[in-house]
Amino acid sequence: MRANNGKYLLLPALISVALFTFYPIIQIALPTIKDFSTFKDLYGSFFTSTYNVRVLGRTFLIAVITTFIVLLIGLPVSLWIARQKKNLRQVLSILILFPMLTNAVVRNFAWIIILGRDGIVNKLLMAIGIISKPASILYTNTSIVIGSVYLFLPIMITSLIGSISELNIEVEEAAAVLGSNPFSTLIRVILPQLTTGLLTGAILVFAGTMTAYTTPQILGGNKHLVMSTLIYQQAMTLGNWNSASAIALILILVSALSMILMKKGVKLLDRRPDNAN
Amino acid sequence: MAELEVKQLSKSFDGKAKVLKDISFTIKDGEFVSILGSSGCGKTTTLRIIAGLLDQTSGQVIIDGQDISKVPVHKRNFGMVFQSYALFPHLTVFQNVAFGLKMRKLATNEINERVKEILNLTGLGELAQRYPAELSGGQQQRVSLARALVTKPRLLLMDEPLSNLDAKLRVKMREEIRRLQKQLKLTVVFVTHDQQECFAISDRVLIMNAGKIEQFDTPENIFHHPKSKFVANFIGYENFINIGEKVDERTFKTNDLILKTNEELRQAEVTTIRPENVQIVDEPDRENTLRGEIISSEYLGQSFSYLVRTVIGNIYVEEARHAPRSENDQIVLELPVKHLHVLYR
Ligand SMILES: Nc1ncnc2c1ncn2[C@@H]1O[C@H](COP(=O)(O)OP(=O)(O)OP(=O)(O)O)[C@@H](O)[C@H]1O
Ligand SMILES: [Mg+2]
Repeated sequence: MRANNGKYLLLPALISVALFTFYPIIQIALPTIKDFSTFKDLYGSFFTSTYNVRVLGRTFLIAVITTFIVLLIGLPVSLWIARQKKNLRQVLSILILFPMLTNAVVRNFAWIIILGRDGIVNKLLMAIGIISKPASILYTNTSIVIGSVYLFLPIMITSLIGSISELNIEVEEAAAVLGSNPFSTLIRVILPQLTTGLLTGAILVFAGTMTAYTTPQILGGNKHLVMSTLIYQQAMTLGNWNSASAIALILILVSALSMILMKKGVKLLDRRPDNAN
Repeated sequence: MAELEVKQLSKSFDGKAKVLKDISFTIKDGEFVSILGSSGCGKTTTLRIIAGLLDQTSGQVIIDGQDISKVPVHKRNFGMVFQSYALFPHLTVFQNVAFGLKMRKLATNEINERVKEILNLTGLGELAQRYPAELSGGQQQRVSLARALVTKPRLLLMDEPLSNLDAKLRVKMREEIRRLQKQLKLTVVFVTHDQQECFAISDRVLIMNAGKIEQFDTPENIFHHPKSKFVANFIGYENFINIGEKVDERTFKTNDLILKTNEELRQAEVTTIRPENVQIVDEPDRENTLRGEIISSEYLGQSFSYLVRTVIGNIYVEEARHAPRSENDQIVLELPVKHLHVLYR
């Protein structure tokens, strides 16, 4: 009885979610599929243009590489932070979030200065003799990846610290007593228990990078378009609204599909029953 | 299969007060020793230092004459059963138990064989493919036990491994542990705060209080000759009688009452007697008798427990009887000479 009544309390929330999430998407989608020839025209022309496909590929690749790097840096850092004494842990957790408090545009302009021809990175690389003249890092895929990693690392670390601090340390101690060295414990005991946290973090970073606008806009220049900057160009510069809508939908579909695949992949690795975490 | 020696072990956390104060003891090869003590006395801390999970502040842990204080946990080859079970949540029962054998790089055949054997022994055969979250508390505890036993550790450390089992299973499991320990000739350190359990299972019992050893002896000796008031109290002696004035080596006088014991008084100040050893008798003029009045009674199942007011204070008495005596009854108590024990600390 009570469970039944409680259900209706969810209604306002459900309606808002439906309204704010799906209504805009439907609004974008409808004009592009209003009849078959429009549909064929818009989506067909996207995939027949090598330029557009290259943009899609680049977007996807940047998101994958960014996610990978963020995982690679985020995991050890969050393991370290999560295992510090309470006070230090709290201070570090807040410091990690600090970059998110600055404006995205300001943040990216900072990278322009750092990565530019006379920037600190080039000076450093020349000083230690890796390169002899300034390399162009800025306005490349690399600079977009660097900016995105910087942007999303705090999210990953925060998400992972949460998962790690829920682990029972005695489980790791049990592994050690049974003869497992620290590295083997990390691989066999800690990581398998973190799959959910890692997946959540990875999905957030991946989706965020796929759809980010400011970072690729400022750090990619106009030669390295990604899907979101392409959409802007189509809509705002060329006034091609329907084409922009189609690209937006393709972006949504590719992102969603990738995330579903990630989830499926993790399910294969982690066969715990659902109530285990 | 090893002899464990703990030498002048001390521990304080973050420079705070010591929770272990200069503890020394030796456990012989193949011996089953229980550490008994109330909550917070340092049992788990002692066990964790022996296991290598915690660094001592000072002192040594020695196995077969070799100081292992600097040997990391995973190279000590011990077994441990944790208070919280600490099962691997992402592995099945079978995989949990196989973990230690995998770490020892045994052949798959042997691993399968040994895991199956120990699972059957602990009654977990049917549950091999379940995950820990799908098990009851008692089942998890048995997995934890099986996981430690299967590696045939040279020293098995157990931190209250039976605390979450029901009374019946508890007795069955402790008999099983004892049988396995004898069969595999394991050296075992078993932490508990259940007095009955540790007396039933152990070769020797180490009683701890506030980071110190109170007494380390066989269950019989501890039961019959507790050394200190703390030990006596802990193992169910509830009556403490002050030695007022010494009459001779084994006789003392307290509140005009003359009491005798079989033990030398020396410098002691207190004697003690268990409630079930106090007799209710008819004739008032025998040795070690005194008059009293029943203040309250309590039904214990097999017997009745009375609180009796006497000249030397209130005394607890247990008597096996079908019907209770009534309150305010005037009775005569005998404190049998052989049951009145002297406490030296
Ligand atoms: N990590 C720690 N930091 C500070 N103090 C600790 C820590 N671990 C234990 N202590 C303290 O050390 C003392 C002994 O703790 P320990 O866990 O060894 O008790 P125990 O005898 O196992 O108790 P229980 O029967 O409740 O398990 C306690 O006073 C406890 O508060
Ligand atoms: Mg404990």
